[in-house]
Amino acid sequence: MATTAIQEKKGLLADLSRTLREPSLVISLGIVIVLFALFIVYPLLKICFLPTSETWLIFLSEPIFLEALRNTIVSSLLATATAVMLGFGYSYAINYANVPGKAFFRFIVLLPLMSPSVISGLAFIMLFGRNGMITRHLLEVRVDLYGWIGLWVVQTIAFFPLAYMTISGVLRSISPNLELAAQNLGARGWKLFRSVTLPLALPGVLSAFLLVAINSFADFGNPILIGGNHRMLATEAYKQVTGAFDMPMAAVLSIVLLLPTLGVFLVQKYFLDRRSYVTVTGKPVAGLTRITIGPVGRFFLWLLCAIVSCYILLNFAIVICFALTENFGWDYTLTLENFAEVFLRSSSMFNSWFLSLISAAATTVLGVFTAFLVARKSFPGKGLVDFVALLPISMPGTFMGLALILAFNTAPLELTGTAAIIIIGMTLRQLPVGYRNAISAFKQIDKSIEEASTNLGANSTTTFRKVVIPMLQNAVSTSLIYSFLKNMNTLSTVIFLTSPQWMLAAISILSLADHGYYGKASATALGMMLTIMVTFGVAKLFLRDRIRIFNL
Amino acid sequence: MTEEIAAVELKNVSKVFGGNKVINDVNLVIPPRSFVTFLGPSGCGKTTLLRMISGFYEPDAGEVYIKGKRVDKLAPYARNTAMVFQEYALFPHLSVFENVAYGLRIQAKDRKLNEAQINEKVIEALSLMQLAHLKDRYPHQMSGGQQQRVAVARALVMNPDALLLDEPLSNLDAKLREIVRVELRQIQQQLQLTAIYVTHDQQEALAMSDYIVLMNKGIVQQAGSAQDIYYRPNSRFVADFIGTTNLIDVDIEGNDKARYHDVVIPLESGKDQGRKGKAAISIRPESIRIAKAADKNAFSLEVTIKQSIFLGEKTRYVAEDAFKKEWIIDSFDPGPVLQSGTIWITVEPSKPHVIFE
Repeated sequence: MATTAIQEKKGLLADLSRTLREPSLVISLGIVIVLFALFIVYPLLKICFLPTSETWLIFLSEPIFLEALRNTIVSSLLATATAVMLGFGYSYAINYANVPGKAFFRFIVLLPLMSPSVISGLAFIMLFGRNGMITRHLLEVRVDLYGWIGLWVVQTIAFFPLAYMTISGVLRSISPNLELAAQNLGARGWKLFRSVTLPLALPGVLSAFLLVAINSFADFGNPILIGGNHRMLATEAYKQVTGAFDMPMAAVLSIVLLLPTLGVFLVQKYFLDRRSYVTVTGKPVAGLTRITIGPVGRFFLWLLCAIVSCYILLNFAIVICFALTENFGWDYTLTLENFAEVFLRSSSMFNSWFLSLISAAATTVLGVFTAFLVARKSFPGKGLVDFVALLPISMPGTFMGLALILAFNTAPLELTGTAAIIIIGMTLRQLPVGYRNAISAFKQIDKSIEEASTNLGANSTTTFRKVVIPMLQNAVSTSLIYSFLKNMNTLSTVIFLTSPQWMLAAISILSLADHGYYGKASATALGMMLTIMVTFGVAKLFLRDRIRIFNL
Repeated sequence: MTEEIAAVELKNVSKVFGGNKVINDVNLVIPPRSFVTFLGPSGCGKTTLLRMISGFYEPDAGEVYIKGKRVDKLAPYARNTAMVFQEYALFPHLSVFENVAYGLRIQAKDRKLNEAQINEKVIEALSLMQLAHLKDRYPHQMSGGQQQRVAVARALVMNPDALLLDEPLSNLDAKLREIVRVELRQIQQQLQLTAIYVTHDQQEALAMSDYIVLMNKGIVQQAGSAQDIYYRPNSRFVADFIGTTNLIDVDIEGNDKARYHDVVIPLESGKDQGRKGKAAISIRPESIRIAKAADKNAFSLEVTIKQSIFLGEKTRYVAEDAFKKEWIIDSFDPGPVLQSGTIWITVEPSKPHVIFE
């Protein structure tokens, strides 16, 4: 008899048969797949197939839209370039040049990250607008900074913290031993910077550039506040929906908005992840501060940090001034009326808080659950589930909002105008972050720890409860906090999803500012920050060490 | 040590970290072309001392000289020392060739080097470390041992006044470590370099060094040749740190006699340094011989075997005497290993070393 070679049981069929043997896995997988298909894939297909070739032709032949496209590209590249340069300088000053007051600078840079994204636009109007405190009252000049100049300034300030965070991470991960080695071989100053520090930081600078570029490209709040007549894609899409009711054209504009972010996402997922210079060599050296720059250079870096910080503080100062007075600039009477209006006579603050909280919880549960399936189980189509879970990160908020209202404005699933569609939008928008955190947590937990638990007699549910969940604590709290923060402050995701019954605070800032109620708009912005802080404070009070808040 | 100008000299050097004196008034003269090892337990200050020579730390007191020139206020890049880091610190964005060429390129003007000369020197250094065929690789494409060689080549190519090595072998496996330490020693002798080597591994120190500087708690316990340190330790710490030894509390009675309880240990003339009183004597395990019966003409002691470990070339016995003192005895007798029972041990008068403290 001929010997038959024993084949390894692998491939789709083997995976499928293994999966089917575990009913709980089939059910969990079913839930995830249905949720993804219904709320991510279906809206995506819907928005992509809505516009006909005719709509595309109109887009390509209409000068207005091409102008919007050009403006969006130019504006976002300008803002990205300055934001990345600023972010690099700021981060180099803090991490390498050891400038005086770096703890303070480090704190200041976090403020824009924690506040509503439109706050820098709002402050810009109140400072430099047509009736701006600085332009009109202080300098008594009449200038119109609305348009690309204003947008450039505002987006630079709004996005440089993002660049700072990314670049800081990379600068800090460069082993100080490498610079010591270079100095030992005779390098110093500019030569040391150019031959070692800069090349090693370059991947970080590049990813900061991509990150800021896609964020400013898809930015909605700032262009609508101070874009003026400067047409941009996101705001044109909004006007198509609210003014012209031309859904197919809005879809086209949103798809164009999606393309660069989707491109960056695909490149990062399939090419960049494998290449990085992160050097984990060398223990930290005690008693050694990196001083790689002379006193003159250090002074200029300090000056840069000081100017940027002052500008950020000025933003918050003007918001506080407007919020606490009758009509700042004309009537300086102190009042709490604005806050009373925001907290007592409007439900938008409560709505924002309530829906953000629910969505943060939903994001975290779905993220951890999906991550568990992907990281620990084998089933057919795993790569696809992973891809879809990360996909929303590439979608601009306005794109996702539009896709959702297009998909769910008719029976049987008519969700337009409900709280549910807001929750779905917020949850999906943050899902990639929660999911990715959980995946990396699972990767860090060696599978042998779970195997040890099983080996000691625990079944898989006990293992999950007693071993996996406690070890995921960091990922869970990061996901909760980050999504709550983002949900509270997002504007673009929810702009199409809100309704008069379910008004949100971020959007009321926009309409209040639009109508010239700067006091109330400011009070709303401050109120949101206050709400976030109180929520974090209460969470910390009850959960103590089980939640880590400010080391995201 | 010699009349020549010292390659490196430290005068009354001290260093304080957060109120702790991690280096306490160290004086050292390192002769040119010698291989010197800073040896000691972790936290003894050996790496700190090395970093003060390379310029990464500035001494809080004292002076550092390289080739007779005072350098303790000079920046690291202005001293011609070349360091091999424990974790190699190779530039991940540069190829092997460019890593080695880095220092030459930086100093090309000062050293009046053109591209061809740099090329030649780099290839020479790479060939010396048998790396020439890997010159286009990047650090992450190489094994730990290869990376280590690149780090050495990068330092050698600078033709430094002092080659500084900070535990460079600690990340290699045992076998490779032995090969590389022989190579390093050969290259140092071949190129006539002054090398300062930091390690906590006493085997490494003994195998490689012309001189050993044994440190503990920020002070130099003993500096001398490997044999000096091994056979003539000046303190219990040194005797105990280097190799394995039996330290026995005795009374030196004069007339070349040491009294251990009621037993007299005869010493070679002069070993007692003309002193009397309480002292310790160090007897290396390999200096002890095993006898079947007491020898009335020499020091002999009856001990009971507690444990025997066969190590290949020798058998190590752990035994206890009547005073509950443990003795470690190495026997090179190829005969059967004794598992238990009593034996007699004797030591020749020339073997014990007396430590007065």
